Amino acid sequence: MAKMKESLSSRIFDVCNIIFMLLVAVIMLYPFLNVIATSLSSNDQVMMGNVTIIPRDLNLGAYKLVMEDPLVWNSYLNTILYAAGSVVFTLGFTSLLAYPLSVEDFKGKKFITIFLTITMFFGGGLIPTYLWIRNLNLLDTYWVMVLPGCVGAYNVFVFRTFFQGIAKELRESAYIDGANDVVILFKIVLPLSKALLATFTLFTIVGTWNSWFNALIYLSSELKYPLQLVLRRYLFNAADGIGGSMNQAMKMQMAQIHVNAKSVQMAVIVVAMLPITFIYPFLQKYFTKGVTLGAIKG
Amino acid sequence: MKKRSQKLALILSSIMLAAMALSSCGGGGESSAASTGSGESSGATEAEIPESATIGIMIQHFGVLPNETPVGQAWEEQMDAALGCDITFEWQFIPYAEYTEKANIALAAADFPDLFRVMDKNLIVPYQDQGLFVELSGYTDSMPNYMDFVETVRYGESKVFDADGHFYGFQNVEIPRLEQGLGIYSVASYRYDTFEENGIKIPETTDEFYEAAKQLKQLYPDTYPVTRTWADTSVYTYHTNDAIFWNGEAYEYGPVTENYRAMLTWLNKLYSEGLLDPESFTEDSDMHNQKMLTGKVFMSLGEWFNDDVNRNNNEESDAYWVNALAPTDPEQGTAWQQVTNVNEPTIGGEIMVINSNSEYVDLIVKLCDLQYTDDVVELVTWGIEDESFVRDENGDPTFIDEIKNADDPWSAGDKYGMRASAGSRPGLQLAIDTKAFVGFRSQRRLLH
Repeated sequence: MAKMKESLSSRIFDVCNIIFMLLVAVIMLYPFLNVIATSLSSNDQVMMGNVTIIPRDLNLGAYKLVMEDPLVWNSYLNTILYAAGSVVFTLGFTSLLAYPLSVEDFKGKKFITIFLTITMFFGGGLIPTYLWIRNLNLLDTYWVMVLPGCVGAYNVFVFRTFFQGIAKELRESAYIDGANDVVILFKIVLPLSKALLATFTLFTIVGTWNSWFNALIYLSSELKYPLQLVLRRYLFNAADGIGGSMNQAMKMQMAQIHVNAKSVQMAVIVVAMLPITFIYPFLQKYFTKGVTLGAIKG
Repeated sequence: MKKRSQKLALILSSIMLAAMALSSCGGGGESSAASTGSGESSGATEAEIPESATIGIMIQHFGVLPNETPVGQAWEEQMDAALGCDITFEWQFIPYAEYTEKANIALAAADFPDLFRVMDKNLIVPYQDQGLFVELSGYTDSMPNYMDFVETVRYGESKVFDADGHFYGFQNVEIPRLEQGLGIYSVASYRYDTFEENGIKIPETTDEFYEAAKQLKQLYPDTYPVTRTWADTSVYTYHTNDAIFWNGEAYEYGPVTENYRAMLTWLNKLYSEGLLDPESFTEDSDMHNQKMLTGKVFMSLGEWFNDDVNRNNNEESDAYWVNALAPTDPEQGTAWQQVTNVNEPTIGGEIMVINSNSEYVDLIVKLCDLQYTDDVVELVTWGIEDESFVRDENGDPTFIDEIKNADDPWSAGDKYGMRASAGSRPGLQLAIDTKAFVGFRSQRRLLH
């Protein structure tokens, strides 16, 4: 008797749970499908608001326009380059800073730790940072997208905690064998920290992929723009009417192939997000594993 | 061994710290230069034109970098020749789409070259007192062409000078495009096909407007017949405005006047009888377009004149919208219309400022003033004679056939680089001849 009751209530729970999850999935999927449908529909249908989740009057003109825009592909390449550079510098500099902090008898440890902690609470602000970057002659270069902010105080502490978890005896035995600190860092500590490095590689890549504000204020050459800035330009500046600043040539083309400005915006969104959408499911487990990394000492 | 290497490490790290501190000192000295600029001008004495100069200019670009086009290069040569000085122009082009943000940062950080074009004069007002820009009232003798415009353009002086007679930059001037005719950009709009079908007259007064709306509400009970946008013409019907405006005799602030109350009473009448769509105050343009195309609204109190063209081109919907003048309220007298001056030169709100730390202020003032002369205006807007334009029988410029008959004349102009093109804005863009914009085949048909 008791067994049947349990399975009944748990079955009811399962049913309710599934219905609820299906609803949430529909709510999440609807905008996604709407974006894709709008990008594939023709001007008249989009203007009248007939497009919901299925494309009406299939029109690939929006994708043609986006694919033909050299800025989109250029910025894709730029984003990949910035991400690669950021990963190299972030991992390199953060581990160089974190390793001495994890060694017990390092003299300047307290001072540097306090220094780092202070930066976690206060920042310089936008204008002083801009002036500083300008004085370093970094404006409108590749390095301005990669160097500023590559060492974050929080990341340093996570690295330090992880390095402290590596047995001290390994370091001591390496000293005895005649290794200096550089060799220890690169030949012993880092190879043991592969999980940490992999996680931070992922975080850095996602962070760089999404960044646009630094590019907005520091870069003035369009050839150096990352993908998100181009996306922003399409979305914010390509509005209809007098408020928008879409360039004339594109407006003419759009009128000729019966494509709405909104479809072009949706097409750019799809082109920007599709690669991430395909890759992310495979990387998801590394993200969830990495979130708790460095949280527990030892 | 270990003690010595530790001592060495200590010495090295303290040297590094000292170097860090000292290098930041040096940088600080350079960046404080901007704050020492002078607020007053140095007087109008005849300064010597230097042999050579380097002038930095920060200006927006629209897709084509003008200094690489034939017109851009011709402009630079013409400037050198006219001023008698070998000038190297250092252009800093910023893409137009991101220009507002960049301009704000450049102003806040006081980091801009000799010449800087700001798209809205209001942006520089907070910085005027800080001495960032050269105050130009002492240089008026060196800028006869600009002063000529300022004194002859209607309301020119009030647009340029502030209350104590100071001004901080050169504003843009547009030479008119039409001899006659008006530009009315905010219009009332009606669904012509529905009005014809039901035999309703296009309204000319507010009473007719109200009656038409009631009739449509009876015919289509589950719609709100009347809508509006930001270009609402009700303010003109009631001889008022949403902000400070000139009422023909004095400046007044619209919202505190009796006329404004009359306008609100009119809008309330439409609203309380279910004739005015309440969402029209908050909806975005996509929603608005949708409603206009799918028969949810039939009359609009105010639209941007060009939007109806796009709507009427929609083949899926049979809505046909027409523009009309703002309706008149008999108690107020003939309604005002929102008119843009297209047959007189106008002075706009974009301004070109001169950095007060510049070494060549006199030269730059003369350079900017040159932009307002006829030949430079022609070069910048029309291009190079016999290359991008030719003279017709009256001696007026007209574009060559290759440009006029192209599928997209605007893009054809990019090759030459003059202003009347899709992406190129050569020179300093201080004065342009808008007649060039009507110089293309499709628009010529309209004028004839």
